[in-house]
Amino acid sequence: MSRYEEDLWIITRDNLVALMEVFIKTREVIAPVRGHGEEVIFYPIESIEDVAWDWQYVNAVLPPKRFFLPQTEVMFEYRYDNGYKITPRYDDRVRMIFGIRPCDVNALVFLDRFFGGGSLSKKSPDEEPLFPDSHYIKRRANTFIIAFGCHQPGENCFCVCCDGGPFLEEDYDLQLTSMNGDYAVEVGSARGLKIIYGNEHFFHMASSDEVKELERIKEDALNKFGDTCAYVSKAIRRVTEAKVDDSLWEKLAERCLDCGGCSYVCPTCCCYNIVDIPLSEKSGIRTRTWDSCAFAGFTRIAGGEILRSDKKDRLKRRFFHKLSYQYIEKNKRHGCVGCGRCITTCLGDINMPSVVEAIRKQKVTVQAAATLRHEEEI
Amino acid sequence: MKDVLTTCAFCGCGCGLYLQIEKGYVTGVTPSRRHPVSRGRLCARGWHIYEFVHHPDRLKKPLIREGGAFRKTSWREALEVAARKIIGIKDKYGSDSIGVIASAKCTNEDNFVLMKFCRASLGTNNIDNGASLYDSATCPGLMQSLGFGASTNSLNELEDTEVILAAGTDTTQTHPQVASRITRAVSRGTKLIVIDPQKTQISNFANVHLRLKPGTYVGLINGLIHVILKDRLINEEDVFRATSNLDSLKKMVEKYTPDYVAEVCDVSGSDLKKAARLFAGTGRAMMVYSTGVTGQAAGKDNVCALANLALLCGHLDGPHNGIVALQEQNNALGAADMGALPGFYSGYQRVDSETEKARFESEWNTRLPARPGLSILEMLSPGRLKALYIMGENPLITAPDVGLISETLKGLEFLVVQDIFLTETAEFADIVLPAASFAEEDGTFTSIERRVQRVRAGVSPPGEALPDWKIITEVSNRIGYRMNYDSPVQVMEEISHLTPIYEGISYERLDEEWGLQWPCPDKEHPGTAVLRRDFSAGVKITFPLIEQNGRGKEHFTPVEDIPLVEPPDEEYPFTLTTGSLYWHWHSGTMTRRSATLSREYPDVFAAINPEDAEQLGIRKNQRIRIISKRGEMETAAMVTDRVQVKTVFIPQHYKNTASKVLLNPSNFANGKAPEMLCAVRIEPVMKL
Repeated sequence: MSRYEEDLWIITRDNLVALMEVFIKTREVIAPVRGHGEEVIFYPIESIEDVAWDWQYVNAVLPPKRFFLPQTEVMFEYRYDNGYKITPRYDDRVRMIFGIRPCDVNALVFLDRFFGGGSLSKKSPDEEPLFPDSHYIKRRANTFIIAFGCHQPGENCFCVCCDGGPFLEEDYDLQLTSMNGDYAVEVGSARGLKIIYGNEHFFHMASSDEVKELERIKEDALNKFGDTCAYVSKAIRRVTEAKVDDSLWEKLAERCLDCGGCSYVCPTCCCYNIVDIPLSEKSGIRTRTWDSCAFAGFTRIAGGEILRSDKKDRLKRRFFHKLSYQYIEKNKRHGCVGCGRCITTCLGDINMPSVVEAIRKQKVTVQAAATLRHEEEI
Repeated sequence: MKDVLTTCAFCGCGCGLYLQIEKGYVTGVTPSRRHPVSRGRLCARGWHIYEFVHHPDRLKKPLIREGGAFRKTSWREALEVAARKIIGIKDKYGSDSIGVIASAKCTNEDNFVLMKFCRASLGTNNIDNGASLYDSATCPGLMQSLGFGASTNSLNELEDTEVILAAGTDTTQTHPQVASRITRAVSRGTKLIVIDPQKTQISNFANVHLRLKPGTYVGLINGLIHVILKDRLINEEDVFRATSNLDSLKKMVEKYTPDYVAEVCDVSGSDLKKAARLFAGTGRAMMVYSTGVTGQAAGKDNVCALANLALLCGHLDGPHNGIVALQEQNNALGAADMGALPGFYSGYQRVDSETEKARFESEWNTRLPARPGLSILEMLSPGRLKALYIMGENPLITAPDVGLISETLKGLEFLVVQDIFLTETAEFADIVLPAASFAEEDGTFTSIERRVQRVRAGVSPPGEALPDWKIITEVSNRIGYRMNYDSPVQVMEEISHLTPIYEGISYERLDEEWGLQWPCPDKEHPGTAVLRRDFSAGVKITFPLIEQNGRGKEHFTPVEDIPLVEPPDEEYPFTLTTGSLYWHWHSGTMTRRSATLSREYPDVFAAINPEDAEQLGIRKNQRIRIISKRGEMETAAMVTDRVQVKTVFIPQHYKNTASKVLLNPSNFANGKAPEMLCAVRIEPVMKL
């Protein structure tokens, strides 16, 4: 247990509602809300009435990634007038994400390492970011995280296999877990503790029974997931050792419709494209938009050649990037947090569990072994 | 910031998606998970549909032609000039000298108001919609056989059927949601028959791929019918009882023996028999088809042939058993539903029916013309009209023969175009009126499964742009026919009042549900997922042609195969085919302005088979010249075995394509569907 503060607090639902009302007045509160037909999406709330409570949703279609890396954002404006003038456009809003799930928080930590070189994460503060991304970093630093622990996995959840949940051990400000009608509140940061001390009348300290109860809830939750974890490690091993035969990617490629949805809904995917839009002869904006390795144009280079023009190569690359040890070492974890969104969103039903399963079942063939030997010789 | 649920406008599937709005800009999309079509999934077009919305090229002010160039002007001047000119032409040459082209991309409300404008305000039935250029065959074809010109079943049923027959459709490119359902069905054990000259992504999964010669659908389908009857794969007695005209079908298909099919379509007898046994040997089968089938002079015949086949095998009966017509444009069906057709008011009520005309006349307080108007191809033929009013269509890119269309447009005395960008067509206009895009307008679209769904404005239109329906009312009011709508809600009220199949549809109900599938004849009716001829029993809706055919039975329409308008010969040995790419949509006006989508295929290309490439000494990406009797174009070669030997495929979305230069316009005059096939020869620009 590596909580910032060992004490466990309790808040009643009524008090939580009252506390949220205070927050809504002072910052932008992003929460899961019920959209059309009771489906849940994250967006800034105007009233606590809009909120979908933890028992009303497992997770939203899109991760809250978009509040840190929007699908399209303007990075800066440029103007040419006796030399270039660049005016960055930053998003300085003070925000709070309420109800984010542990898998998505773990994914944010993954993004922190990409955009901030780890400077935002306590795990590896030693890495100096090479290219700190000020747009991301500003948004991230200004956002307070209230996570909801999960005691009931959804039908597509497999976070336990990916070290993505169902509860957080660190990297949050506050973590709430539903307990006998109230919420157990764990404190994960100094600013989390500040919230507790600043609103002490809403909270009370948990009894030792309540501390034990939370432990029991967490254990129970773990048992609700199937025991499939070994498959992911096996897939990691096989991908890392290049023991996956290309025929597997060929087979999957027949089903892939190039939609890019896998990248867009993946909370750890953060490839982007840069597009300059001229607004006049002398001025314009630079925007960045989400991009996906599923697109052939993603690897288009000068002259028009496309490096990964075959769908199978793009799929292989995608799962290699998610699972291979060389990236795990660099990113300090593999690229999947087990949120299960790719299961929902893939038009061809290609997703992390199905690919992992396919890799596990595939016999290591002569060709793959030969590739491996060849690479070892090099 | 708020996310706004709306309906995707990039194909006929009709996915539900949320527009992410930030400070008046759309910054992204979220697929709707509970929506019955999207189910949390979008294709690449859907994920990037917002990218064109804030493009700097959007029209923000009305434009008026002055000399050779456009001048920005006020709404007041633009509308007054438009009204004055239209009145002048009407007085001088009569109402029928004016034509209106409605849009299969705009909302039902826009189309309905335009239809009313055309008939009540201009006094002519010369109205047609852009989808008629591709999908005109579906409506009359299915209407003749089934009594209504739309899909019989819903998309989700594809997953649970036993056999799927996909004809002339590169479904992964045009209708990804349908392709997704087909792939899923196949992995659950559904058998797949693909009829297509091209190799497509779904043909990878096919149990039989009948790779016929381009344009020989009727021959092949008649061949299937021949085998089914000859080998007694169905119970003829049952079919005879349930349908009409079986005898003449039987007589007609006699000559379509497997040998005949092998010769005409280049498909082996064993494959033909295999497909026939698969399709006839199941209780549940569905058919999907697209522009490969309809984009041909014989398009209507192709559709009738498919309907005959389905009817013969009893596959028009209940859930998981029917035909889904994959129309490419988002509101192709809606535009037709709204009466943007030369012979019909909304809901396929005939303009030449005295009772139906009388009802519209009394509701609209004016006399209406009785004679059906001109089709889109007739309107686009040089010299037919003096003035054209075009809403949201770009025939210069989408119709065959650019030269001919430019001649028509140049020859007009007055051309009004309302659109969101200055399209290739708009460049010929006298007045250009800036319109709102789908992201800026409230209204409804009707999807290929007859699902009427809400479109909701997420942001304001750029500059002074206005919703299409609003612009039309302003013009109409100045012409002297009053139209007063405060909002699209009122338009929908009028639609449901005047249109029996939409009668139970209101915004309130649409907002509660995920849309409603027509026919929805009253406020309590839940909509119709599976549509059958006997739907009319017990309710006041009638499908006109069924009654005309009599007996209230589904009707066989025997059709003979006819040769291509321009078959390949020694001088022009290749068949040119055109079609859509996944990354682009329609005339490309929007997708070519989307950074992510246009990156995939920034330029036009011509796909040829490796065998032909070798023979002609053409390498990948080499510049080649494609020559038809009418003209020539240069482009880069793509070498792929997806296309058949002796065919060449050129996508349709590009400005500089000129593929349409090559196509044969011979059908223009008789108003049939244009033939998207012609004979060409290919040569490298430089011999290597």
